[in-house]
Amino acid sequence: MSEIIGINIAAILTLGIYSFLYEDNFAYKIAEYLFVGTSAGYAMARQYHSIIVPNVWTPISTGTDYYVIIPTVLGLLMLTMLVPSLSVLSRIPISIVVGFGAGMGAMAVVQTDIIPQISATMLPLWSNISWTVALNNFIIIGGVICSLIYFFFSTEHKGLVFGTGSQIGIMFLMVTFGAQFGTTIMGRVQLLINRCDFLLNDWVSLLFK
Amino acid sequence: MFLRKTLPMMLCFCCGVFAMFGFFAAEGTKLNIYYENFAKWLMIIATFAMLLGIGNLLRVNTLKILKNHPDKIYCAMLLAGALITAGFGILQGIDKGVCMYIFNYILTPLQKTMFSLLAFFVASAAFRAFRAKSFESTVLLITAFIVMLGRVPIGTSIWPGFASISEWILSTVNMAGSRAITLGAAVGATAAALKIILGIETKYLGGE
Amino acid sequence: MEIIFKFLKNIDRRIIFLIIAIAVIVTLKAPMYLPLSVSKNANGFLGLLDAVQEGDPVIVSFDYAASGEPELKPMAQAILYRLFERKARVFMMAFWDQGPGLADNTLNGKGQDEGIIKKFERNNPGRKLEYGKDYINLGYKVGASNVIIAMNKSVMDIFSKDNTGKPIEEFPIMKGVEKLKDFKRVFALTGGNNGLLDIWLPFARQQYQVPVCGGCTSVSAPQFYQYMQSKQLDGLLDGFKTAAELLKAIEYTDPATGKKGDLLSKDIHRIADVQSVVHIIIIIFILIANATYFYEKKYGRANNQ
Repeated sequence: MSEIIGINIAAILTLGIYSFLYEDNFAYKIAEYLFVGTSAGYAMARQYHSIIVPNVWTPISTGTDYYVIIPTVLGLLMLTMLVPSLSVLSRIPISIVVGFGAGMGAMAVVQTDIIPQISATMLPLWSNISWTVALNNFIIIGGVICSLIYFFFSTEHKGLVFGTGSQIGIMFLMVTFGAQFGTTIMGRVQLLINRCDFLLNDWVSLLFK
Repeated sequence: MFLRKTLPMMLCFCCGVFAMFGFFAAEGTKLNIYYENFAKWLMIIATFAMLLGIGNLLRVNTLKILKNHPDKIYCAMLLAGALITAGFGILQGIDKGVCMYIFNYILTPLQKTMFSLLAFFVASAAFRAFRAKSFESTVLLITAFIVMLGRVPIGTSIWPGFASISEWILSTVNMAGSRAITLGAAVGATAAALKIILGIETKYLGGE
Repeated sequence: MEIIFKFLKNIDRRIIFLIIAIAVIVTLKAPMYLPLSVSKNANGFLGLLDAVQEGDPVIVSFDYAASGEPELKPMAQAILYRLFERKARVFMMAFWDQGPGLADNTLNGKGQDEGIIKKFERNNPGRKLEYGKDYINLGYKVGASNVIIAMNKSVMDIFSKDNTGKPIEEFPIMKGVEKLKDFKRVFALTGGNNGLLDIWLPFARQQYQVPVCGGCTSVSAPQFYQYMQSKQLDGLLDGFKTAAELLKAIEYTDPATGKKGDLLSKDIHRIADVQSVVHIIIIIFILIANATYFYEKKYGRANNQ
C-alpha cells in the first residue's frame, strides 16, 4: 500500500516539474523547493550518521581518541559564520581547510594532470610501429601542441608557428566540443527516458490495475 | 586585524606547505603519520562545512517567512521538507523508515526529473542555435553528428563505420583537444593554489 | 516554401518539447530492439573484471546521485554481478551522500527491479551471498581526498562502522584489509566532479598505486580518454552505451532451462532504442534549422536587394 502511495506521489511531483515546460507555475515551484529541502535534510541526516556519530561522538564518548575534539571545535568555529558578530572566528578553520586543500590539490594536479599527460604525449613517430599508429601519434602530438598554441595569448597569433598552429588548434578544439555535444545529448536524454519509463510503466499501469 | 587577516593567512601558509611536503613524505615517517592524521581531522571539519551550507539555507528561508516574503509558502515547503527528512533520518535512521521512503519516492524522482528537463532544452537549443555559420562551426556540427550516430544502435545499423569513426574521433582528435584544455587548466589551478598559499589571493576569507 | 521556413524559424519551443516527448513515449511502447554489438572498451573492461581473483578485496565506489543513476546503475549491476561470480570481496563506499542508498537499491532492488543479489542467486543456485562476508556497504564519507589519505593509514579508523551502524571489525570480510594499499582494484562510478577524476585518480592511483578503473556518465566521458591513453585509468565505461554492451557481454546459463542468456534486460535494450530515435530527431532538427538559415541567407538577401 505504501508503495502505491509512493508511486503516486512520485508521479505527481514528476508531472509538476514537467509542467514547467508549458510555463512556470505553482506546482513546479512547490516541487522545486521541496526538492531543495529534502536534499538538504537528507544530507544533514547522512552527515550525522556517517561522520558525526562514528568519527566524532563515538571516539569521544568511548575515550578511544580525545584528539578529535580539536577538529570538532574547529568545525564548530566554522558554524560561527552564521552569526555576524562572531563570523571572524570562522576564518580560522576556513583558512586551514583552504590551505591544506590548495597544497594537496596543487601536488595532486601536477602528479595527475601535468607530468603524466605530458609524458603520455611523447609518442613514437616512426620506430617499429605501423603507419596507422604513427599517423594517430602524429595527430595526437600535433593536436596537443597546436591546441596549446591557441591558448597562448602572450603573443599575437601570426606567422607559421603561432598563426597556422592556432588555426589547426581551433579545429582540434571544435572537434572536441562537437564530441562533447554529441555525448552530452545521450546523458541528458537518458534521464528523460527513465522518467517517461516510470510514468508509463510504473504509474499508468498502476492506475489501470 | 590579526584575527581577521594575519592569523588566517599564516595558518593557510603553514597548512599549505605542510600538505605539499606531506604529499611526498615516505610511509612510516613522522611527517607522513601527521599528514594522514591531519587528513582525518579535515574530514571532520569538512562535515561542519557541509552543515554550514545547509544551516545557511535554512536561515535564509526562515528569514523570508518571518519577513512575509511573497514566496513564503514555498520557503515553508522547503523548511518542512528539510526538517522532516532530517528529523526522521537522525531519529530512525537513513536507510529505513520515513527517510528511506522520502529518498525513494520524493528526493530521487524529483532530482531525476529536474535534470531530465535539460533534455528538452538541449533539443530546443540545438534547433535554435546550432547553425553552420563558419567552417569551424561546420566541423563542430559534423563531429557531433558522427559521434551521436556512433553511440547509438541505429547509427551502427545504418553504417557500421559510424561506431569506429566515432571511437577514433573520441580517442584521438578529441583526446588531443581535451588534453590541451586539461594541461592549461592544471597549470592555472597550480598557480591559483600557490597564490592562495602565499597569501596573494585572499578572496576565500570573504573580504574585509 | 517561404511560409514553411518562416514558420520553422519562429516555431514555439513547446512544439519541439512535444515532439521529443511523443518520440520517447512511442518508442518506449513499440521498441525495435536494434542489434547491439559489444565494443572493444566493454570487452577490455570485462577483462579487468575477470582478472580479479577469488578473495581479492576490491572497492566499488558509488560517487553519484539520483541524476546519474540511469546511466551508472547498469554499470554497477554488471560490475557487481561479475565480481560476485569471481568471488571477490566487495567493499562499497561513496563520496556522495546519496551513494550508499543507491548502492542498496542496486543490490536489493526497488519496486519492480529485483536487485542484483536476487538475480545472481537465481542464476547461481549453489551460492548465497552473505553481507559482511562477500560484500559490505561502508557508507558515505565527506572530505574526498582526505578520506583516501586517511584510508591509507587505517580503513577501520575512518570507516569504524558500516552503513547500518555496526562496527566493521566484526565482519569477516575485513580480514587482511587494513589500509588502502591492501585493495587490489578500485571500480569508481562517478556522476560528475568529486569522484574518479578528483579523488581516485590523483590519490589512490598516482599516490598509492592502487589500480583504478571506472565508469562515468556520457556527459563527462570525452575528458576521460586522455587518462586511458596515459594508462592512468586501466578501463573506462563511458556512458550508457558501454554499460549496455558490458551487460550483453556478461553471459550466464539459466539453471532451470539450461539456456544461455546475458545480463542485458529487455528494459535496457528498449532504452537504447529510444536513445537512437531521439538522436535521429535532434539531428533532423539541426538539419532543418540549418536549411532555414541557409534559405534565409540566400533568398532573404535577394528579397532585400
